[in-house]
Amino acid sequence: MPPVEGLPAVRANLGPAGVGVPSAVMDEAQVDDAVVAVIAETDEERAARFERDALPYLDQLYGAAMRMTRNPADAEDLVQETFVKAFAAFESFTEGTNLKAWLFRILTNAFINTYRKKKRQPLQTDTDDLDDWQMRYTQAYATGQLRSAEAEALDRLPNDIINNALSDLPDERRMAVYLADVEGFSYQEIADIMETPIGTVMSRLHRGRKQLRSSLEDYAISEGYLVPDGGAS
Amino acid sequence: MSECDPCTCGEALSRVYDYLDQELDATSAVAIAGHLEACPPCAEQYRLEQVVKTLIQRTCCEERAPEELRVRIVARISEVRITYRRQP
Ligand SMILES: [Zn+2]
Repeated sequence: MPPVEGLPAVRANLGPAGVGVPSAVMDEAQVDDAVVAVIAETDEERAARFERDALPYLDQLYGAAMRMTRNPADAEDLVQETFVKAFAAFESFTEGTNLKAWLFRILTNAFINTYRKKKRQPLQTDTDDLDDWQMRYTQAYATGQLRSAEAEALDRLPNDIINNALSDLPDERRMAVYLADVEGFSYQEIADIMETPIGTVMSRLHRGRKQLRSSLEDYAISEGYLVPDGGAS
Repeated sequence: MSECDPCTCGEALSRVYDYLDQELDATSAVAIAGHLEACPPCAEQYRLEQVVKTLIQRTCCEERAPEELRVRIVARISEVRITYRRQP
């Protein structure tokens, strides 16, 4: 069952905050203004504008790159590549549109197209098409396995355990979860950044979180943070 | 997508992430909120999802790029700029 089904109508709702194709969402007067501004700009001015507007996202892009590559040296290379590409394309970026999402799109693209290829590691994509997260809830509810202490137990887990669990997610799920939960992007923005339909974003998010939660629960139980209901211990 | 009024547990849980991520329109959000208020098991599931989302935020927001990286990027940008200017 393709995860694409769901919200095709929302996909079309690409507002001015949409990424990448700003000229398609601006009226002509806006385009004219933007073009005039860019033409009038010298190299120095554009570099200054880039440093002023784009460089402040360095820490955020680095954080995301760390989640993607899972090692500092590769994260630095990826972020540097992202900024160089972004600067080269900065002329085509329309001021007033979503710069953060634009930068994240370049980063994601660089990760998928350059980094993974260089490492000869294909992007880890979703293979299971069994959307069973709902079933899991229903079962937990039906069998009375709800654990009232679970939220507190998960909340006490050390950061490196959560990091490991996040690292274990397949790339696309990890990226979707990161973009939604850490960066606070909307589903539509994530769809633009990952260049994928919004239904796919939702599916990656659902599966990623489900997998994350289940591995955190397993850890919490095995380390005694959490005692399963009806369990012997 | 149908509005769920009154919500069944299945409907509410199937949209718990949309609710968590504030992706629902006002009517649906009110319906889910109403169900969560009336249904402790669903409310508990929602709370767990909230906790996991907060955990991810907590562990991921501390990253700072090394200062050398910033310096290197600024240097690369001026390099790129000069290369461009040399082009005929
Ligand atoms: Zn319920």
